[in-house]
Amino acid sequence: MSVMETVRPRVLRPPKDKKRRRLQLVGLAVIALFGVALWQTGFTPWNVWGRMDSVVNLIDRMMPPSFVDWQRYVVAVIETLWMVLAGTAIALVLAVPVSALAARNITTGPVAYNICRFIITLTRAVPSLVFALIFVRAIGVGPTAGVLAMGISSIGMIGKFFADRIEEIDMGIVEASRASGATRIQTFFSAVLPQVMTNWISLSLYRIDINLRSAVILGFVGAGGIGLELQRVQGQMVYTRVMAIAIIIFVLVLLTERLSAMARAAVLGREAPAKENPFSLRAMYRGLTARRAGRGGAAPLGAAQAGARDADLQRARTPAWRRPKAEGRISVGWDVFRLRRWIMGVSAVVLTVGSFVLLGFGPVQLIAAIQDIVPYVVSMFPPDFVTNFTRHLDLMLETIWMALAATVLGLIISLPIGILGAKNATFHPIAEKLARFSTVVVRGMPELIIAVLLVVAFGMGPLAGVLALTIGSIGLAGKLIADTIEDTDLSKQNEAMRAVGSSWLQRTVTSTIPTVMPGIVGVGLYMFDVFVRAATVMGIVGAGGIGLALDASIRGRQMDQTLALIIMIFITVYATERFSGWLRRQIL
Amino acid sequence: MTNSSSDLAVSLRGITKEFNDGEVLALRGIDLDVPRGQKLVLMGLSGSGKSTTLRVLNRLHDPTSGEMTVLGEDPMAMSARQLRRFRQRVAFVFQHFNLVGRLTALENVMAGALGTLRGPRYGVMTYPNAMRHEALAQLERVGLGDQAFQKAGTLSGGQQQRVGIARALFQKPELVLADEPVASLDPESSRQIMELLLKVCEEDGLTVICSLHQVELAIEWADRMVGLRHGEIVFDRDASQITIADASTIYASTDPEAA
Repeated sequence: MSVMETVRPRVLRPPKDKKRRRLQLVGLAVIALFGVALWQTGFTPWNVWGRMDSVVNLIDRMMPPSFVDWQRYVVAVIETLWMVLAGTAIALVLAVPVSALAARNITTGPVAYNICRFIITLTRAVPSLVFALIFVRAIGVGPTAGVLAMGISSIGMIGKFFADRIEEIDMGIVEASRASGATRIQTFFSAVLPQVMTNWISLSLYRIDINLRSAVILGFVGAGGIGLELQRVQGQMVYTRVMAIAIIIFVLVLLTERLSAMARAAVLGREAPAKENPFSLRAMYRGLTARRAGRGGAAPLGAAQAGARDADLQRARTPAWRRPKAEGRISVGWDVFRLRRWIMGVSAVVLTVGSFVLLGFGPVQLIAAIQDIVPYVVSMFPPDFVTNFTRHLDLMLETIWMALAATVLGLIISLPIGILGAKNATFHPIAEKLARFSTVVVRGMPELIIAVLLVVAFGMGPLAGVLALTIGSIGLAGKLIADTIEDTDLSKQNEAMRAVGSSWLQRTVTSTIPTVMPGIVGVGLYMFDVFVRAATVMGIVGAGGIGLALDASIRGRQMDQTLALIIMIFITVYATERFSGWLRRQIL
Repeated sequence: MTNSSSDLAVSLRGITKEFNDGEVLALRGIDLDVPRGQKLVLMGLSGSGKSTTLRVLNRLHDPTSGEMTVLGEDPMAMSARQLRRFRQRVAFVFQHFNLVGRLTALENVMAGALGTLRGPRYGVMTYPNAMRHEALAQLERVGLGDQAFQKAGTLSGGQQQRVGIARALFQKPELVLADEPVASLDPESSRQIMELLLKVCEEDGLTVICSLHQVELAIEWADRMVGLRHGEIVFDRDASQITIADASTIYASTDPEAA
């Protein structure tokens, strides 16, 4: 020890190793870029503070909410619900073949595989609002445009998860089916579909939940439903009615979330462990972030395993009169579960068909719509990157600055909410309830709707967009961080921290935060991903970013520029996804 | 045990502890006096109340009823602030080390002083330089001076418990509570860690209350052995009066299944 005494420096500091220095560099870079982002988006304290009185003014003008037009709103809400069902149905029909061909283990060949993976990537990267803008222009204002936009843009996410699920199936069953001489289609229906069905249904229900939010927003650009009502009263500047519709949207979104969660629980019912629903937001997030990391991530329960357990259960429960008889018609027979499945299936079909009928959306209308859309899309070629290039580039940069500013601001706000909202890290059970409640409340308000209101208060420009995304982050990041912390075992180290007489704040900073730091960084990167997507369309409602140019080009019928902008958005979103994945691997 | 109260580190009278609204009775009336400087071993099966007794002493658990005096004070009558200061004087060594795995060994040791510091700390450099040197000295004392800047989670079990002991010593405690400090370690590390704990506590003249499963280890270094069964004290003897064989029978007598 005496040797150490002699070489011990006067000020004791950690050794400077490479990894530590790299982390410090990344940290400094983020802080510097965050500063630039705040500057670029006009998100400075004096700017925000200076316009506080107009926010107060707006709130004043919104109170009390006026529901005088309630009959209109009821009709619009119902239309929105039909739109969601029809849009999701179209997406499902299109996503099944796409996902089957995009699954490495059952695809027909590299050409089909790559085409379908590209379709998935493309429809995932281009926001649904962009599709809606184009369709509204091509076929006119109304729910048809919204349904088609939702149908096409949902292919990406549904297709990706469907395909990932297929890649996890037990191939033995597929081989057995092929060995018995079944065709590809027969194999798909007899060996693949049964293994993925439960998960697919659950995912579809989850997608209904997402599509409701998107339907509200699509309406705002003319695609029908309650969003269209919002646009109308907002255009008339009757803010008491804007408030009324905002409340309706809020309740509608939260109710649908509840309903879809309940329906998913009912479908998964016996098969999923009660603790974690494989299609919860948390599992989705893990599935998205664990990309290409093998079979990790959400790891939904093995369907084969569940199936085997089901079969055992079934046999044990089957009374003698229900077992197949030697003579006569052999059928499965009825029990509570089959009856329930049957009722759910029939009502799903009836509701879906009903939604198309009530929307007046039949084969004739579909063909007419396609006849309108195809020449319109063709007229977009070739893309014109040259005109207004510098302006477009500036707006694209602004989009990225917006996403960055909102991500860091969002983390700053969401971290305390996440910590307070985690049962094992909170200050007090009441604080936990309040924090969780605030995340739920914020999730009820789609970011773009918040942006619409903030544009009124703060004026056009990126400031409103950044604020809207920042508020929205509470619902996303607050919940994800709380879930991440609850998944971490802090009991032991926090017991030691209590034993040395630390305060709650000291425990949080010295024990909780360092332990969940990788998770927080992961959430931050994921948020950046999501916010870049969201920021690309903020401009459509005047809240800054590339959406402004997109909207202008469509209004000005400069379709070649529109296409160029869409390609730019696609590249940016895709590059961001790759970049944040790369950064994640570097840091974690 | 008729010392005057000032010579007693711990004095418990009729301490009981219920969990889950009385569903589980962990302690059923513990009376115990521990003089300052004594090295006491608590023995008994899992669930006999050893851990609960230790955790009541620094109020990691609040007793359901009974009276206690620890280091001349009544922990039950303390405000949150007083309790934090009191816990500085009582160090705890845990079975599972309970370190923050992603912090360095040095930071884990310094966390022992959080009760005396105001405000939160994040990172080595946020602690005073003198404290950093003091923490390094404690790490050297337990033989881990060269691992000071290793993340605690990357150390071996024995090393982690050494950090745990260094954290305890860093508090400058008067009383050390150790909850099966070697139960998650291999026999060789167990012996080394117990010797280390004994040595440093004797050097600093600390009172030690330690729960332990290994009879041989207990006999070797304890002054006194107390056996618990179903939340009650079933024996209480001077260690000098018992041999390993005696202790084993005593231990076995607390274990109806093994008998």
